[in-house]
Amino acid sequence: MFRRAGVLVLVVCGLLVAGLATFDPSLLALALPPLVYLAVGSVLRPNELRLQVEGGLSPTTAKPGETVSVELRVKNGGGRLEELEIRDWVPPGLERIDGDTCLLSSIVPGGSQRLSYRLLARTGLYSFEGVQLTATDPFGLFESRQGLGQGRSLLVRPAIQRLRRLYLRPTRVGAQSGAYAAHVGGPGIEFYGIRGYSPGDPRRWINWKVSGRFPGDLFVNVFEQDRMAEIGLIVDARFRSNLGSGPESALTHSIQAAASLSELLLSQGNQVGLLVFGSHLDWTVPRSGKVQRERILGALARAGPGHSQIFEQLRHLPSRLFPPHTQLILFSPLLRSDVDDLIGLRARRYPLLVISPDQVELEAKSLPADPQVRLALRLARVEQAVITRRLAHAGVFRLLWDTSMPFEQLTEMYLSRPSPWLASIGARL
Amino acid sequence: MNGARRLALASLGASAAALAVGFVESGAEILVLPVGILAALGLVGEGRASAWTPTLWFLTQTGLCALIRPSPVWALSSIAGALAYWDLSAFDRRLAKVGRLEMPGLLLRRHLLFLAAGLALGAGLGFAALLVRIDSSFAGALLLGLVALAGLSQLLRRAQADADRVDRLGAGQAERNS
Repeated sequence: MFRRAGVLVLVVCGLLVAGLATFDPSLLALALPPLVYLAVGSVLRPNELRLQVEGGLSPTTAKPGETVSVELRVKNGGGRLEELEIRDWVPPGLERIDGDTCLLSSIVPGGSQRLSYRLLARTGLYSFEGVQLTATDPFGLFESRQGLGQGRSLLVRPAIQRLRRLYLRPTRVGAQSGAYAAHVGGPGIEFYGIRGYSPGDPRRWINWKVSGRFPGDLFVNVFEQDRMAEIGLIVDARFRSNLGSGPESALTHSIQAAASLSELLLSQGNQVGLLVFGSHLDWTVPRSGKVQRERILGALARAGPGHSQIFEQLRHLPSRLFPPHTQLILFSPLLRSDVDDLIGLRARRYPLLVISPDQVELEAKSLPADPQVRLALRLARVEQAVITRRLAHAGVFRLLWDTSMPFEQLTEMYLSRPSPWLASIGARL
Repeated sequence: MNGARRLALASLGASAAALAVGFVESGAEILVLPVGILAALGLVGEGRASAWTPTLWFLTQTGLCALIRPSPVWALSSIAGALAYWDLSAFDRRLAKVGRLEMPGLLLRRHLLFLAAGLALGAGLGFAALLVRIDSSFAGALLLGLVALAGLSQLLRRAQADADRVDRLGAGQAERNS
């Protein structure tokens, strides 16, 4: 803006100097139109802005695909503003459906202007920079700016699919009752063994058939106690393992799967922690309950692909954040170089389940169907199969997830009951 | 094509025509061709919403007026036309930048009102200055010139302070956001 005033000053000064130097009054007369124009602009320049912004986002927490309305009302507590530009900066990643994010109008003292538009929510945590208000004189020579409406944020939680059950056999369980067998006799549902009667045992526990064989002694059934487990979810957000972006990226699927699993595990009373690694570590300490659910969903919403020299290799993950024997569930497409690191993690006695969104299938959708591509895809699938097999030999169960199948269906098919294949290799999830 | 752009082009045409007539009248017909070329460049620039062609026209046209000195009436008319073109072109670009205009007709009307008032006052004063003759000594003229320059430098300083304040506000806002 100032550049325009500078051009005018240059013209006026040039004509004045030329007129004085050549004693030609007509040149001084020529300087008058731009001089008056500059003077009018200067007189009508906006002084200190006294604007207020009201309104904001509705809702401030949304689900993916939901529509978010932004309603802003700018009130003028100062003098008349000939040209006021109201611009709201929409954070990258959000898509505007309708309405306008920028408005130009004149505004009278005490008057107001409304800016409204609607956004399509996509998973993430978005901070709005604020509304930029720029008032200028009628000629756009001088301007005053004011930034208001900062601090608005929109949290779009990942979509959650309601899972019915998940079969896990964690080796480490907590003290509180929960959903997982604790390998300890006591009150429960599953039969665990028989022991001699002790005073105080409920009569319905007495095993009459066994007691009948040993006259004079009473035996009672013992059940396997169900306890809550401590489970660590790890989401791989590295750039190099998550190719592509947008709603069909591997990371988006990993986030949705982690959100759905955390919902189920927390509803069963387990302690769930979350570690997201990409450009940095985002660590959510294992806890249980509804507040923890919000924490985990917030952390998953914040997750985005990133690059870091430190976390390029899985071996640099601070596994000590999780106590030994904690059941770990890793969501990652996995790279060939990750296999040895995962085997190392398993060797440190972490029961490990890997859920891998099928990167090959995701890539194949955007590639042409020519023979070279088909061959490349075939080779990539062979490589994936080799990774899965190597992990299986180390006792790590990797589930390759074709993302065209809903995660709910996948868990129902492969993770809701003990797998015969797992039993055959003696692995414990 | 919207109203502001149509008027900008009309102003460009009027400015070029006035300058060409002024040159023909003062016997510098040879300069009509460069004026035509510059005006054509302005037309092309307007089609591409270029920001520098109106400024180029404004500066070149003023420079030609100062160097060749056609009849002051035509020169003054041409400068007024060039100023209108320069202003309306910038206004049109400002309008194009925003998503929604609140009552665009009213905005344009008010802008034209201010522009017409400013140009009428400036051109009127210019024509009056051509008619009125005040004999003053060299010292008086110099003093007057110095006063005018001081006024302009004050204006420039205020504009600079404004621009600095806007930059500081912008930087502060960026810092808060980061």
